[in-house]
Amino acid sequence: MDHNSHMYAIETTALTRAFRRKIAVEDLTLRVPTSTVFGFLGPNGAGKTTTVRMLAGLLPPSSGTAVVAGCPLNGDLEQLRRRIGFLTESPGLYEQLTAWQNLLFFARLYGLSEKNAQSQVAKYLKLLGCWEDRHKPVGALSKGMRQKTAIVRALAHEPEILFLDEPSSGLDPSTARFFRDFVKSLRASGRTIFLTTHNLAEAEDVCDYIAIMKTRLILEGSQSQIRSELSGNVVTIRFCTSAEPWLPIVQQLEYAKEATVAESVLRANLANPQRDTPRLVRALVEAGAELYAVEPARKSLEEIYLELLDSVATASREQPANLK
Amino acid sequence: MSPLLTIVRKELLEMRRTRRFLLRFFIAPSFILLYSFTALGNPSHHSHGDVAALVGPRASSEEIAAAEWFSRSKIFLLLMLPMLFSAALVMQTMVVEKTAKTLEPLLVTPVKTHDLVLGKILAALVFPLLAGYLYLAIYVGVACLIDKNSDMLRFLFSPRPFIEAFLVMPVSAFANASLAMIVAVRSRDPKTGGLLSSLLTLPGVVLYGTQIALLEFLNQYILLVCVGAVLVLAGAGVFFATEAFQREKVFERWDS
Repeated sequence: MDHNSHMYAIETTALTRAFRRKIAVEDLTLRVPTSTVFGFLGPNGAGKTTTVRMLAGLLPPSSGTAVVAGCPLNGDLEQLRRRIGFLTESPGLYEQLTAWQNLLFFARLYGLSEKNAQSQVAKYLKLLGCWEDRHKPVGALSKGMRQKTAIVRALAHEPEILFLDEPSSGLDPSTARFFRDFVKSLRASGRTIFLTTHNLAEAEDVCDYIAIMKTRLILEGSQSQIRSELSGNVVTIRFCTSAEPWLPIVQQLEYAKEATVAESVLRANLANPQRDTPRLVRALVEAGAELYAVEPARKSLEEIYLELLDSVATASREQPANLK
Repeated sequence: MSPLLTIVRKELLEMRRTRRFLLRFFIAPSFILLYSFTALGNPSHHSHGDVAALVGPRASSEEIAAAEWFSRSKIFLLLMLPMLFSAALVMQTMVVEKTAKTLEPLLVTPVKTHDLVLGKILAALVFPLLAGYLYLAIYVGVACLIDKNSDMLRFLFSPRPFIEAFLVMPVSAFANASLAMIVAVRSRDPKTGGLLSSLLTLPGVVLYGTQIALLEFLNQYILLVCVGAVLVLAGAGVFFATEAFQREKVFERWDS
């Protein structure tokens, strides 16, 4: 096993998938570090599900390559399937069968021995708080319980990588919170989680890395890197009293390109925040201001996501006009 | 447990839990059973010459007698039912996979496609054949009580009914289930799929029907050749269903 195979759970190179004349995924190059939560975001029809199906060995790529859990997509797909767990958006369980029967069925298909299947299923049912309901037909379980049962199915064979497609969709806030905490605990146990979601607050909470795509990859990186890079050079200064009197001082500074005030908060756009923030603080303190806090202004993931998609939409609208 | 047995076991568990659906497989044969009792103890409606004329001039005397008893006993109408019901069950199992959205989690497991296809087909044979054998056994039991030492009883214990019950019935049901599987895999609409798969049973129904009506009668050697041919057809059905059920084809159909 080479160095990279330890570092990255998933690596794709120029992965492309076309259906007849429609390109669903184009030239996707991704690297998902091991033991991280990787958020895969994009609007409906962006090609997320097609990408996940390619990575799970369900759909062959039209071109490009990928290595998932050390298995190339053009290699032994059976081996690949043993190393991954997959939670689809809909729980996908047999409603007439009990949770226990459903889970044993899938565990056996993953090649677990009878004894091992029973102990693994029992372990995760207890961990997720579904043990008491194991003999109820799945059709009689609440949506949250079904989703938990589906998680047990995806985990019972101890996969290295877990693909989660909208895991908290339609769940009540407390169950959704439970899922987020559970995903974090899975990461702590060394698993890689590939999370497809529309819930940006959820992605912001649990994801270490983010990729945003719309047929092509728009952006990829660690969440902290993305947010600091795309938040611009704005610094937020919180005063103990009103910020209003200090605005003219900031406006006089040549390195402060723009400044705004709202009650006790002043936001200044600096030429070089690393160099200029201490200078700005010094200038304000010397002028007699009492500062409460100074921090770089960070956009939320939602703001970044919407701005990016907006710019992509604008670019695609302008492209045909330019061609004329 | 092998993946094939795991699939069969799951399908049977699921069928047992849909009792109302299964009940039909036991109600329909019971009417045939009651109807067939009317033939016990009654003399033949046909003379030897009538049957010989119907079956064909080259038929031997034993073949003519077999044809007559086969037609008279009526219980052999049962042979058609596993063929019809197994196709319906195959359709049903695929409908459940599609409506419950279990196909994707199932296909993401390392199970081989041929295990999946064969497992579903074999599971679909169990209850229809079980019902068929149960009613045949009841008929033979009642015939032994009522028609002691009759020609009918001698016919029932001759090779021909054994070939019909233990070769023709399961093989034709298997072939039909495998052909229904090809339709079920490709069909997006369960109702259309059900209709198409019931059309597949027509040649078999015609073949059984013409023999019971004495419009045609295959001697047991020709019957064995037919069984072989149907077995080949069943194998081809499993092969093509497996081909149509390959993961990339299923998801390509869904996504395109």
